[in-house]
Amino acid sequence: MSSPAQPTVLLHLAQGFELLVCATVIVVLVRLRRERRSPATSWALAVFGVLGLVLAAAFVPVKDDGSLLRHGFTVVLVCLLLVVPYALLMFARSLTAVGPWTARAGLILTGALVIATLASPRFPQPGEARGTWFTVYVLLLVVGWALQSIAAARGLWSAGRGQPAIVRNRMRVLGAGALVVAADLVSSGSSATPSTAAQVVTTLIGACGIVLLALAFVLPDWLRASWRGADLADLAATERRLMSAVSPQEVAIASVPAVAQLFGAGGAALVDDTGAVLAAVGLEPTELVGLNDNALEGDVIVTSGGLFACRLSIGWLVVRPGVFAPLYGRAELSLLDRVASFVDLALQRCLLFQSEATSRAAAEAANTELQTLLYSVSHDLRNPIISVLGYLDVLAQEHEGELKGEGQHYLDRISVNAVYMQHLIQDLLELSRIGRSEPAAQALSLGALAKSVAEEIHAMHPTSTISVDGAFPVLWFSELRARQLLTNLIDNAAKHSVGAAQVRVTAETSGSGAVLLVSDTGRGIPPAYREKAFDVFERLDAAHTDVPGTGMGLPICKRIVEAAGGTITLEGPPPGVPTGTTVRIALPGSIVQGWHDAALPLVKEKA
Amino acid sequence: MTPPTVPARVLLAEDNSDHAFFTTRAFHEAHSGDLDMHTVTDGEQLLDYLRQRGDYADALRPHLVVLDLKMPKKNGLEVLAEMRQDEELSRIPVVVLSSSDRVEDISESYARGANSYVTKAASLTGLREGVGELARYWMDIASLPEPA
Repeated sequence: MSSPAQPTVLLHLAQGFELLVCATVIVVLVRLRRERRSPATSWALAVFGVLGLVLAAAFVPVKDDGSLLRHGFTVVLVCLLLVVPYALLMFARSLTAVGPWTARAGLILTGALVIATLASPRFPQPGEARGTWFTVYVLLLVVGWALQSIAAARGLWSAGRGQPAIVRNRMRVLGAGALVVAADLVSSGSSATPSTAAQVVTTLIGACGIVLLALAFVLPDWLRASWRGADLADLAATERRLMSAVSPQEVAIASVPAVAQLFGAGGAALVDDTGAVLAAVGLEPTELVGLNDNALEGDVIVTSGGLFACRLSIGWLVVRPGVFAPLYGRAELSLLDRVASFVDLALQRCLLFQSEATSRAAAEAANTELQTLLYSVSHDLRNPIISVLGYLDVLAQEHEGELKGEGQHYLDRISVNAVYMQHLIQDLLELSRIGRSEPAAQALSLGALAKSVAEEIHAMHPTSTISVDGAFPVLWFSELRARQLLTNLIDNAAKHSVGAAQVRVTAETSGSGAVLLVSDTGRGIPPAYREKAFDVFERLDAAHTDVPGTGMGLPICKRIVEAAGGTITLEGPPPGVPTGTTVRIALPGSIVQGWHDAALPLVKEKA
Repeated sequence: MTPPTVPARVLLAEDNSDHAFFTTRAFHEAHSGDLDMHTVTDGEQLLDYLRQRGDYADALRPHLVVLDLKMPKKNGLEVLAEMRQDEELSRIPVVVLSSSDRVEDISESYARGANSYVTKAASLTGLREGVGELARYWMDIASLPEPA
């Protein structure tokens, strides 16, 4: 040993370090205890407070002179040391880590040893021979220390079982720390004449124990993060379950037990704004009253009953702190906040679902009503017009020529209007049916169909020229709807043309889809009215012009095209044509099965 | 072939008196031979007539029933179903003559055993043409079973 001063400096450094760690823990515990007064914080404070006093005593300059003062000082020091394992035991007891009988045994043992210490005449000086009584006394001291510390350490170590990862690991570290401190004190107590080097080693071991205890109390973020891993995996699973919940009850069932588990809480509950308990674990409904105060969303309040209540936008997430709550920190509260915001999102999503379901039910009811109305229309509205047409027919058949001049003209007008009414009812019904009850689709050559429709319309408008040229798509489409579409478009084009109408029907590709173009050389539609032309009952000419029509042709076309996922627009005449209209229908690729030249006969494959 | 010795009997079930008038008229116009046509105005009456009950105890069963779907008391589809389950009435051909062109009405009528479905609005010149065609087919072209 080069210099005896060096180990002494080391010893003081080690003792100083130990004292510093202890003081830090004391400060943290005092703050914790101010936030939440509980037996656990009190006993923890007792452990560190007493340890701190003992450690501080090393710096008190009391001479080793065998005086009465010195003896008194030693007795107080020993008594304080005796209290440490008991306080540790009681700390473990407050976390229900050890049983009541162990605690009682600890009390009796500690009491006996304190009395023995107080009764002892004097302690032998270092180097002095120890008497038998003193050897027995020291043995009892060491055994008492060891038994209580081991009981406390063992209890703490296993108390975290079944708790969230942080609590579990904290309890283990507490247990380990208690064991190390105990072992250290036992070893220092059993050695009568320790060398300075040995004292440095024991002090450092003691410091390690205290550091372990301190770590468990003042959990650093990096340790918290590494321990939180398993809990976060549980949290993620909970969040996934929350995302698939579709009712507040499901949200509650998915979240409440998980929250209780995650926080090692004694209970958890989800309460809605009306105070109704959606789900609860370990909490009685009677404990959950009086939550409707003015807390803001996201606030965590502590109720008079000691419950943590997190204000959601709809209701409350309530947690009853478990026995390990003194070990909670801000991190736990922010985690609670995070879970609460997930629960809140899930609840809001459920409300959206519910309002959507309500609106859908309303829409379905309205739809059913509309169906009933349509049924009535199709039966009842038609009957009178059938009668009117019937009588007109009888008049025409049996009383022809009986009405003269204007009389016959009026009868003709009745006929025209009755027929118009018949068309109106028919078109209105058709319009309402499209997209509602769709006839079956089939592979359909649009060109062949357009040619056939063109021939029919040419027969009605003999002066018109209708050309169907080029390649046309083969569509997967209802023939009835395709025929309605083409008939309306070609008929419109033919009847709105001035003089000899020229109607052209062509098709072109557009990506994977198809575009159908029906153009005429009519008066054309001003751009401002092109959008309006698709509105029901919208006619550009007055109702009494000679152009027949109900004004429902284009709306019907629009419905048919949109039901198939396409779009329909009106454009001006093709280049080089002075006036006219082009109807452009874009159909999606999903219904285009191929292309076929309208001039070629459609070859049907035979099975 | 020997011509039928009895006049063809047609029973029309129709609650709209105007429609009944046109239909009866169209049948008489279209059919060249003797025609014995009666009208009932609801489903109950129709079944009473067919089962020869109450006021219709002496009625002779028709060769053909022309049935409207929308009628008071018992609608056409209900009557149709009952007729088809009744052994004595199941063979009588039934032509549905309705103002509806709903797909559901048409398929349901055939599903319940209608022999034909004709829409009143099929012809825009009134009932005459459509019913005339119908009458010609059922009275002059088709062979009808003798009712039980």
